[in-house]
Amino acid sequence: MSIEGEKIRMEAKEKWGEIAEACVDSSEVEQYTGLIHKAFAHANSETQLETIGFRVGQVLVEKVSKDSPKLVTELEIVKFICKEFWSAVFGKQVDNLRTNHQGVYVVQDNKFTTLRCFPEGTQYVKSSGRFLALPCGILRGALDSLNIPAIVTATVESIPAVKFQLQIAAKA
Amino acid sequence: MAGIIAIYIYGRENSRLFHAVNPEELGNVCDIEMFVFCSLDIVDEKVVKSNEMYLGQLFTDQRYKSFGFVTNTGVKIVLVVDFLNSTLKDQDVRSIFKRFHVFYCKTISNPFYTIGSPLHSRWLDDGCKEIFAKSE
Amino acid sequence: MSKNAKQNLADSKKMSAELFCLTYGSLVTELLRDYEDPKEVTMQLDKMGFNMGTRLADDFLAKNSNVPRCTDCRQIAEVLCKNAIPCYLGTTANSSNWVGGDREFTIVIENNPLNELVQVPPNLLAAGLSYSQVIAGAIRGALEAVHFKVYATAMENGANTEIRIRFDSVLKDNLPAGEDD
Repeated sequence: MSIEGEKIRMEAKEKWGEIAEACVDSSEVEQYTGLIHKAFAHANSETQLETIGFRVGQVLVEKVSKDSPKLVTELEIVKFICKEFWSAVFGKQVDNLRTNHQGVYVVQDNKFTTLRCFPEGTQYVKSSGRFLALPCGILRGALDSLNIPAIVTATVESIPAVKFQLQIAAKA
Repeated sequence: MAGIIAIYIYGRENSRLFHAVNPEELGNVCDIEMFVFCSLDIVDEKVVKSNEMYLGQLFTDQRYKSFGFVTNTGVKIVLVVDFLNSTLKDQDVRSIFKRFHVFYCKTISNPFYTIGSPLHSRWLDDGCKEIFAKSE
Repeated sequence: MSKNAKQNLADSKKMSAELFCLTYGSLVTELLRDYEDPKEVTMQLDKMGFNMGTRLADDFLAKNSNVPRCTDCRQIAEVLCKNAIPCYLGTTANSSNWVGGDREFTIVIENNPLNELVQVPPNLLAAGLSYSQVIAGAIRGALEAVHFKVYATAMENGANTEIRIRFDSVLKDNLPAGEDD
């Protein structure tokens, strides 16, 4: 965990942040696998929290989906995540779901549970990011168990509203 | 419950996660395993057409008959029953699958368990004791 | 409609408990990957628990203003077993094994939710991993926040989790609790 290594990682992460915003097509995501690895595959607290969340999501989704009807299409699965899974794990359903029908989903939760006790507004937006690593991991683990490998990132514009981006990996 | 021969659990990539054979049938393990493999093929066929987790009866060879179940995460459970068994109703089979699905959930909740590796837990063991008990 | 709402609240509390226990379990395995030595992981869990405990003390006292100020270990054990542990772990506890002129005792937790679905590999247990040490740390931290210095160790005994507590001293100096290590 050298200082230089941290610097490279931060730069890669910022670059990815810009690219992720502009990404419309999930196939574009794959060009950036190298960058994503640089940005995220490094053992700092955020990646560790994400890894911890991944395992939790894998198990939780089995329990929550146990009593739900059979989920077949990708859209059914994402809707399940946004409604039943979100309610069970985060205490409420999401407020908005958008998709470009090409593997990119944007999920909006205006009162995300993790940030519900944080001071509202834009003052702590930057430092709130690390608290979202665990939920992102949970979502990625849940999707993975439902056979939807994806990259999950979160952005905060104003606490406690959070936007999650789900970028579904294109099937080989 | 009379006539329950075996229960097998497979992961999404068809790796075997768990298997238990009725102690009275241990001499026929090879035949039972072949039967389960055939049943798995039918599971793959049926899962595409089914709109629920319970797949119903899969296969029969005049000695055994099998029932299938697939979870939303792709975990497959195959139950092998004596062909001549007539006391086991559809709802009994559904209930067995539901119980073993719960046992599976409990077993994977162990943080020291690696998803996709063989399952070992007291719930699965107790569940098997229960379904293999009271064989005529 | 209100019946549904009540059910949802009960379900969401249950799910929060599950979420917490699964996250804790995943954290323990992650720590094991990081530190490799199970004894070191136990120490980290104790530290985490201590930090949580110092904050929980305030929360507990705010919610339980009728709890009297404790003057001896028997009273501490009573409050822990009858109020604190049910409040934060959702299960009851009892004290036992009093020795050393009532300065040392064991808290026995029967249905510890943290390790309800956990099977610690025997080799890790033998190498010094104490899965529930976070509870011992929390008790230590909470008691230090109310000026009691104690030593606390967690161990699994059959189906129970036991926290062995040894009273050391009353902290006279007003050092802010939580300044550990």
